[in-house]
Amino acid sequence: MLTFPILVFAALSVALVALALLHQAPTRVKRALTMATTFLAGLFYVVEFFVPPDPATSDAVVFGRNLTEMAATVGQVTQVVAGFTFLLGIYNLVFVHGYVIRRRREGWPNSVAFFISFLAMVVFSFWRDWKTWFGGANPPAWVRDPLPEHAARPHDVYTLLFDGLYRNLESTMFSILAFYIVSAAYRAFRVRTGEAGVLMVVAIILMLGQVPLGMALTNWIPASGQFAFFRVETLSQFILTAVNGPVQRAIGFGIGLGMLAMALRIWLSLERGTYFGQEE
Amino acid sequence: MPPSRRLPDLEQLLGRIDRRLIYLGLFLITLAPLVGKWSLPLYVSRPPQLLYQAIEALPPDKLVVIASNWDAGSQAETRPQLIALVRHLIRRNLSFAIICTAYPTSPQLAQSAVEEAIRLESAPDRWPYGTRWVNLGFKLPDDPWLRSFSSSITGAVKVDVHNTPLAEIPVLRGVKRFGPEGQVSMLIDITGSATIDKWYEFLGPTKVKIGLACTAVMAPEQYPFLDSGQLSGLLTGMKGAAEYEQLLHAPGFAMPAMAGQSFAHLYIILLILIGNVAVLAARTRGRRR
Amino acid sequence: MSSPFTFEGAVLWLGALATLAMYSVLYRENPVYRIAEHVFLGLATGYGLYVIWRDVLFPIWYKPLFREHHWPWILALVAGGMYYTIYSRRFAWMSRLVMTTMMGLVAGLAFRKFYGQFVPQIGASFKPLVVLVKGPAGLDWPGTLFASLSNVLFLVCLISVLTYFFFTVEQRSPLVRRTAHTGRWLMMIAFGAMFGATVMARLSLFIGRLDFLFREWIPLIR
Repeated sequence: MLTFPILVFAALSVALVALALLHQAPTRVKRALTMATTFLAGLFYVVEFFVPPDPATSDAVVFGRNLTEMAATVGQVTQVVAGFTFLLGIYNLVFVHGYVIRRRREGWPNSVAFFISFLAMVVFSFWRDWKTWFGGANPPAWVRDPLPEHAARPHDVYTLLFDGLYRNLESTMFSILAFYIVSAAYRAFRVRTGEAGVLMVVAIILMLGQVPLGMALTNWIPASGQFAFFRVETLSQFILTAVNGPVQRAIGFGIGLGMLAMALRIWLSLERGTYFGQEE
Repeated sequence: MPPSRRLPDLEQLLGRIDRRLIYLGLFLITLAPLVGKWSLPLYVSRPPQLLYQAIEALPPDKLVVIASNWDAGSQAETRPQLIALVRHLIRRNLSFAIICTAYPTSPQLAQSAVEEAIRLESAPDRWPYGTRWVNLGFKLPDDPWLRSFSSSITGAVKVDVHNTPLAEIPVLRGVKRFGPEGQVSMLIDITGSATIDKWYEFLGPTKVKIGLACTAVMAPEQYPFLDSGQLSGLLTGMKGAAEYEQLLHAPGFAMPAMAGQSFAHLYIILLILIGNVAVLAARTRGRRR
Repeated sequence: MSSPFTFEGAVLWLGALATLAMYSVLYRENPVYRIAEHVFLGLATGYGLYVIWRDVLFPIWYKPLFREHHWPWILALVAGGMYYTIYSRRFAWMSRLVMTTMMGLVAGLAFRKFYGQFVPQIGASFKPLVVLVKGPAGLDWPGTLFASLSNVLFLVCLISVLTYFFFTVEQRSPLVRRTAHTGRWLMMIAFGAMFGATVMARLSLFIGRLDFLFREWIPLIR
């Protein structure tokens, strides 16, 4: 019974003692450790990729150790560590808005609105599923609606917050971009050079070729035959496939090679910057 | 003539329309065809046809994984895509699993969209949750997890969105790998972000079929992958959803909405032309002086 | 129009008022919009926390550690906790250790990712310049010409855009400079396509909102 708490305590203690000892070490030791862990972490996946897979299982097996199965555990660990870092963002938001309220800075009622909505969502979503995780009594019906006839849309506070508020606020926020793009197209899309002219002509062909009204402008051209190419939907598809396709591929090659080079620099600790070379 | 009594010139008339008038114009010109139920024929392009044919050719005894990576911000484009695709899978009797790796809201949004698709197909009795489909919830999109998911689904995911262990979910019994030698025949990514790149990177070598239903913004960048065969088919935004509804003969939200889209496009083309005419008029006036 | 005093109606009315509050910014900046924006931020943050716990931390960490007693999972808490030392100048090296290790893992996957995404692209770029298309009565000349010219166009586009982005040596030769210049013009075609697609995407989102307001809330659209 006690084995588990003892093991947990022991593991925590060992980890904290190791960190404390490392904290006392000189900067060059910490830097060397950082470089070593970065390299070893990357090496795992490099070996896992380059080792020829076992024909029976398609897994990478090195000296009897199945690296592909180990990768599953690594994936779980990174999920958990990344999950904890999400809380970092929440802490930051809470800190910033809390400061605004404490100092009564301009817009502090907005920060109060932030906290109210944040707490409301946290309380009602956790309360709703509390029994699933930790057992206990069923939540009241206004927190989690148990009726099967309401399965499509439960009549509870969580639904009000999610379907009523959150979904609509988010979709409206992004739909505002439609107005901004129309206004920007009117004010800023100026054909001053040949290249801009080409861009505009192609954009217009594509905008017409994607919608029924645009297609109706050229649907008098027969769908088969040598002139079918000039139907706006055929023309726009040709532009997308025959010109846009290779151009995007060439741009993609540049990006891909750049990312590979960057990854190599990070793996081999050749990169300098805030997270790599800066010490106190 | 005194300045106050001079008629506004072309550049002033056309070049300085108040933005609120432009917004009002967009609102009215987009709403009118929706209220008036105007409709015009839509010609289905090749990429949705390819996706349709790819799903038609899937073996009936294998699972399809739907990566539902959209949120409420793009739901006008991606929700109709998901509904149309799920309706097709139901008609083809293909079981599927939902996984979300982009937005925390995706599992809930996908759940409601799939339930709507099942209702539209009148299949709530023959398409029960757990036996024909499952929602695996949300996972953070880090590369090490995606690597493990691509090699073993049940190794990477332990429970579904309702905290039920995968071993107790009938539709996932025996499901482990992607690809022709595995138990998953296709992955369809429905996305408003760059999640498809991850599937090319990690699932490409498994030779599993990959389909994509994305927001229109992302579509031009995917044509190289359509050309190379890495993508089996592509739906582009709300238009793609409308095309797929047409292929299925199952009108939903997207097909009628294309009328509004048509007029909105004409409106923006008109504004671009008006803006350039105004600048041209100003330049001509300047040269004359 | 649904009554706001039923549950379904209340959800609709709440959604409609939230939508109109957001759209009020189109007239001008105002406190209603700011409040709606902050409410959205709060809901998003709270919901994110709930889903991270429900789908990530509870099934992968909490349950194996505290229910199934797999004690090594406590070290994941240590690793996650090390990230928080970023706020302390003295202990920030711990956050760098965890961050660079995670970045090392991702960097190690770069080879697999490049192979998966770009090697098929490279292979698919080698297209035949002469494509023979057979018709019902022998060779289909228009089809052959179209297919062959399409492939030639493909090659021209690919090479000229690749040349445009080649910065390793200075582009002195007139042939190279003209090829790069052609690539620039061809990229304008691709950017025009992207602009058209972007416009379509944004307008679709607005149509979605119109559908909600005028079909679900005030049924003008039937």
